[in-house]
Amino acid sequence: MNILNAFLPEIILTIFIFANIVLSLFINKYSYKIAKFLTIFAIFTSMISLIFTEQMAYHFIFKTMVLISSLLVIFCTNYLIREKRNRSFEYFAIFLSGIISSFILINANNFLTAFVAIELLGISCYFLTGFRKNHKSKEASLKYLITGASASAFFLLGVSYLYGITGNIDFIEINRILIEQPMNLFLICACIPILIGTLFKLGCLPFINWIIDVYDGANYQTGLYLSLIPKIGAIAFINNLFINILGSAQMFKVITAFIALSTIIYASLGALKQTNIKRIYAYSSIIHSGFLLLAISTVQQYSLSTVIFYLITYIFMNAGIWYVSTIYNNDLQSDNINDYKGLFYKHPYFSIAYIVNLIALAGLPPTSGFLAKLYLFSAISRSDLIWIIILLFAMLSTVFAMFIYFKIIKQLFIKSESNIYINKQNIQSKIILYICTIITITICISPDGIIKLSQITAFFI
Amino acid sequence: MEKLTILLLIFSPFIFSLLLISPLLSSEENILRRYSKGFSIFHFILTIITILMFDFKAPDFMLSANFNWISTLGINANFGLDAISILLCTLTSFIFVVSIFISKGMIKKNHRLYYSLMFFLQGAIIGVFSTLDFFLFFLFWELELIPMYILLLKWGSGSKEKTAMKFLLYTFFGSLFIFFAFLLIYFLNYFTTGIFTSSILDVDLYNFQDWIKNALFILLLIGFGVKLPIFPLHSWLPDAHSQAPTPVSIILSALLLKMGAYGILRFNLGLLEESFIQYASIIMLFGVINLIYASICAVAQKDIKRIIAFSGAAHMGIFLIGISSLNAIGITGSLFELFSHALITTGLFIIAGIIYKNCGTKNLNRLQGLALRMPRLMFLSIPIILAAIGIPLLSGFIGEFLSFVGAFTSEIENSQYMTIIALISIIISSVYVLKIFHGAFYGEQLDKYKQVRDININQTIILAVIVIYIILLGIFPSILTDIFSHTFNFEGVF
Repeated sequence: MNILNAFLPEIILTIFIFANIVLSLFINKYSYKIAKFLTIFAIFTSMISLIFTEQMAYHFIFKTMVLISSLLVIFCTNYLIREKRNRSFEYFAIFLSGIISSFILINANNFLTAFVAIELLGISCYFLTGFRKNHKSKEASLKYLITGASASAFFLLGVSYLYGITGNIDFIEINRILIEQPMNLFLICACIPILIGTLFKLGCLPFINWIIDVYDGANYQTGLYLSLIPKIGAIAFINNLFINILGSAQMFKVITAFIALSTIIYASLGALKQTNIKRIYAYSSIIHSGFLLLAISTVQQYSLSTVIFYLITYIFMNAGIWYVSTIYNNDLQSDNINDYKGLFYKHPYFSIAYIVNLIALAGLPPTSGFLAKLYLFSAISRSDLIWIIILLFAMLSTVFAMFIYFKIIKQLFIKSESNIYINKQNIQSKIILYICTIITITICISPDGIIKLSQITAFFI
Repeated sequence: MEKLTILLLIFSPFIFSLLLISPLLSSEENILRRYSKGFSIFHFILTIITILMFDFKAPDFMLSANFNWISTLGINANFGLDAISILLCTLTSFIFVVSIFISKGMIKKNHRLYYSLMFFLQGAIIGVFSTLDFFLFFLFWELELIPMYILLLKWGSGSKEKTAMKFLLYTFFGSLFIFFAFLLIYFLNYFTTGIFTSSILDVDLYNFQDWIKNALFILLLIGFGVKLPIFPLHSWLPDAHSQAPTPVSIILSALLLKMGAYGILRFNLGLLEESFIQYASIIMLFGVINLIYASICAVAQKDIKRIIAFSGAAHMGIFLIGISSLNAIGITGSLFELFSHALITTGLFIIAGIIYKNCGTKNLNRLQGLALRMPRLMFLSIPIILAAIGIPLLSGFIGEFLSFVGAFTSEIENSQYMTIIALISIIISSVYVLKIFHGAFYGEQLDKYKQVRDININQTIILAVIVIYIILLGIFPSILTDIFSHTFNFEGVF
């Protein structure tokens, strides 16, 4: 019964993966609705089972975040499967396996488990990317596969070196050995590949270009999936890694901080010329990863609480913008931002929701994004002098990010003759969008509860 | 009661703005405008009532109200008003009444969104003037960007998209420095005192090292300098002012510049006094450069609105000169300058806006001989124009005179020389201001302007009110100067 107590949510999800696969053999009619219902049911039951199993607060909150964001993704899938409704069982099976691997990654306290989780997460993401089955999507999927494989190779290289030094793959054991040992060249050779391999999942600098092509090739639902679920898992894992292994050396903290800074600057500059909405979203997600990494690299209890708060707010604002694009570009084949011209005159409240979410991503009040940035920056500026200088540069590069988001807002107010209208049937997705928007604003007005929650979580790690 | 007043003062514009954008009210132009006028007057009356409740001789912040916001981090929603902030709130409310009344005919589309954004902006500006918390101040400071951006983008003229983006990025760039300084103050205060607080009243910078104080001072000066604007950071100003619709130009010039000035007063002078004393001569130098440079730029312009925009930058130069003199006369003068400039620039922008609306151009080369067609406008614009030059008995004179006297008698290094150089600007200012008057109203009447109509009764009343205020402040400056002399404790400075 011990294993049930620890792994009940994962076991429930696994059962539903098999249920999805088995049912796909027998059911032809209404397959999308049944699969969707099954998946939502799976997520709710695992959410309930999370409460009744003994979890660390840290694991609990990250897993809840994964489940909430997967719910958000599910509610906008009804556009996706329109052309491929009969394959929806397959889609949701892969979808759930991604969630499981995220769970394992959050739990991972051992390099072997971590590697399995990273690979499983990678494979589900490759499949989801290729699900559209057109030229672009296949190309993106292959690109993702190859980059992911090379990143995994780096990761394994580092792990094997580390095993050579310490004779162990368990985080806590390695931590105990490393505390006694001074930092030497061999250890650096071991840790840098590990860092590179994990940063791939987060989408930070050494492997960065895949993320743009993959988002571009995938459809909107998968884009939302990719920007939330692997990211939450990766953040939890990287944080774990820093607390146990990398954080013991000042050098790695500084290196990571510089990687984060250069990621932010790279992405902010790269997005300036983009006109494809998916690519802009991809760059925006990279910028946010950079800020999260910068906070993680300070390795403090306080900064961990800010990371959790930032992620909670990020889920809703990011879901908001992807929802808008999903609803709006439903019948459209192009992803150009020129399609958004004059949206405000056609659908004012819809556009207001879009503007609120974009402003939140840019970090302006009255949205949760403002508070998240404030809280995150406060954590970074509390650290050493070098972080303060890095923070100044990171903040100045947000001017470019600002330009990107307001480039989209500008389009909404330009008069145009285009006659693209929103499909009237998407009430469900619209409601979710408005809920996201309201949450984004409400967190700004009364953030105390969530901040307390994240502080308690960070305290008990 | 105090709590309720201050809450109504700050948040009623936001609530009204949401009400306007919601589908509850009809979207008909007249009804919307009537409601907006009614609300702006209600808000003005509210500020007047607040002033009547106010004790100007009290040394502390009056009418304070505290609410929990992020109490775990010691960041709370503290509101409080002292004499300067209540006067600036009143000014804000008054300017908004004027710009809502002048909007008729100048705004031609999307009235619902326009009025909603205007009141959102009003709430943000009032919020800036009345918070006592760093981060809440910053929140309101940033909050003002979004409505302003959309107002410039949507109702502007010319290359409005570029201008709106330029305004946004410049201001955001500046505000990042402010934010950075606030974060540093917040944590350094924590490290020295052990208390998490971001209240202006509780923060104790006494134990900070000198170089940290100086660094904070420079960061804040850059941040507020973008808004003010100080010379190298000013290039958003002429574009934004000239391409905005007239009511928005009024707000930009009369209120947004004052936000920068208020920031310098509250933080650079109020909080980091020692660094201010150290850098006073440099700030005065910047003030002189601002004044001369902006005046010369204004002379070279052809566009009426651009001339007025540069004159605003020049007046902010006078503000800098006055405040960096660091004596009672100079600071009183610079504070007076804020209010008188707000009134004058409002008047000038209304004149420019009416000319633009009725004649279709604001280029001085194409305008000529409007005096015959628009006698009422010409008559009312004479006092405003004269006040802009700084003729005695009008409000413009008092601010300039006191600032210059303060600077001349100041103990700051080389202040006398700088004042003498700055005095040149009085001649230049008369050149560019009279250029507007001369170019627009005098000369032969052109055929194409034969059909131009004079201002209507609505506009006449608005201009007359402004003229009355200008004359009133010019003849009885002690209405304001008495209040200012109580606010800052000048003995502490020198």
